[in-house]
Amino acid sequence: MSRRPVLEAVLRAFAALPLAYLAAASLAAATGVLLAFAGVPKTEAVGWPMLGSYLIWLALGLYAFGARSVLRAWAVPGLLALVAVAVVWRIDVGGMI
Amino acid sequence: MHTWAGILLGALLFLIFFMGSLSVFDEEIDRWMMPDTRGEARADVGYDTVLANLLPAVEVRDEPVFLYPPSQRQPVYRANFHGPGDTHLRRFLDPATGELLPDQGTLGASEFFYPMHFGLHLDHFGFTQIGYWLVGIAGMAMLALLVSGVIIHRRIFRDFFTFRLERSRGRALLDLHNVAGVMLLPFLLVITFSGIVIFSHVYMPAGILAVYPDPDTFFHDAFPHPDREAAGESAQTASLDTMADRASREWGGGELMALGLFHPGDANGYVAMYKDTGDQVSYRYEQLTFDAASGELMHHQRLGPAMSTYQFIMGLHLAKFDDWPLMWLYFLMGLGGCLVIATGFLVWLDKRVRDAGRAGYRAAQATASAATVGLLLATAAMLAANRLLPADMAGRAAAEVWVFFGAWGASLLFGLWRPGLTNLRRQLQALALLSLSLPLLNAATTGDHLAATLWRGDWVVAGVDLCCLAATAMAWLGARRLPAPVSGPVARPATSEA
Repeated sequence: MSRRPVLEAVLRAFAALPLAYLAAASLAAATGVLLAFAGVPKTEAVGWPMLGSYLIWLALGLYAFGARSVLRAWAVPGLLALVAVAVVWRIDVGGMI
Repeated sequence: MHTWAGILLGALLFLIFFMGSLSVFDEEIDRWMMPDTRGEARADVGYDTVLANLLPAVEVRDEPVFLYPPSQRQPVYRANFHGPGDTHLRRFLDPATGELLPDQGTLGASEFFYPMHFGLHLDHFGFTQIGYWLVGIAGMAMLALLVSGVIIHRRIFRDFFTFRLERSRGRALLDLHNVAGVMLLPFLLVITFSGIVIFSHVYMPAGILAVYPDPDTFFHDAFPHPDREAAGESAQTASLDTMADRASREWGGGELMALGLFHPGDANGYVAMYKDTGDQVSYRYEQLTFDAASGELMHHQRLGPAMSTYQFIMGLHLAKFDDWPLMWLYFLMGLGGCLVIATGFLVWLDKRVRDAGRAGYRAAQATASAATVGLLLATAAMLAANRLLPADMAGRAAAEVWVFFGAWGASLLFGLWRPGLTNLRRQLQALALLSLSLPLLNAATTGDHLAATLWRGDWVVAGVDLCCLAATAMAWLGARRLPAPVSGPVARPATSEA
């Protein structure tokens, strides 16, 4: 087996596991922050995104393996994570940052 | 992805599924492993007598003491508390007299098989979170395997009705893998997803950290209950039985699952009462909190929609139902999950049988057999040790654990030493013998032979014995039906899709 497919598999696996996890977790955090900012009770604002975040992780993880190129497999979760972190940064309800 | 995720995490997934399946009947296996706690509760002296006998007899640190009342599955009182050095201790009490029963000298299923299901016992080495995370990653991989399994089987409807036992071994294995996977797909999706959601605060804490300056505040908000420090002044505890009656009325007739006494004997002590959830899917225990000194109701816990949903999902996974057919269904479908994983291993090995002489193949084969049949062997060995080790032996519980891991390690070594189907046949034969010995050992050491337990209708103990006999029959049949051993590289036509 040549090295190229192995390298691609490793890169896609990285996009599917840590990168997609970071994107899902930061999206859950950003949604929670936005909902709390909008006056939704904190437990609901945190609870619903937390319960739903696994489906986002799963979807992004599967996308990472099915994307046309490795670049896309990295770019989609990477960009989503960046946008979500920016939202948490701007509306720092919990004082995390 | 389906193939490699399965191969890399299959062993861990099999362990999680098998231990989870055993955990459905953890209390029944506990009764089998702890003969003093068997039987039927004929009288109940109540919580006050039980507590009065418990507190002077054991060293309880300033931590909650949890009391579990007798039930059909556990006919004695159970007390869980923290002892010296933050140890987690458990003692049983006779409901007829309130007297402490002797230490059972075993972790039992509820403290060995069940924690292994979700934490792999890494907490003993200080790696609690790593254990949870490994199980969580395996769970996410399982979800990805299920979805990708559906995607790669475009003819999923036809696969459901296809089992070609007469075709090649590889084809039959693949059909079995597909049929079992498709039949169990809804269960596997629900049980895997709900299993991950239970540990959301561990796997997905980002939302909590982003919204709550102090993450602990989230848990007080999400599951509201009065929480107060000890006052340092002693006070008499009011009647727990009266509080339990009041709790039952407050729930509209619900029964008590457990009570927790916080700061026993302190003026600021309080009692938490948890409702039994056996008559519903949701694990919604509606905590009631009473002032320990006055016995007055302080708080009735009501959850918001998100946490109610969380408890519903939790209930789906924990299967704490008062319904035997449903519990058997969970147990059998859990074992069905094991079958899907094990046949996945076999399909992978069968497709690469040309490499049978290579070290990598042999290692994979030995790992696969140790992860599947070896785990069953280790479990049976632990149960056998439970009946063979002297009751008064020091460190008896730890010795049982050593037997479990020793047998498991031996299975791996044997697989490396005797590769191929010879290894599998020998291990299945050993499993059949060991499983057969369990009802005999139970009869010899306790007098509770199968005829006696069946005669008196003790299905808890009889059920475990009968399961051991069923395991014997299946392991023996499996060993007999295995084809002739394959040794060395073999040229055979490759099977199609995986």
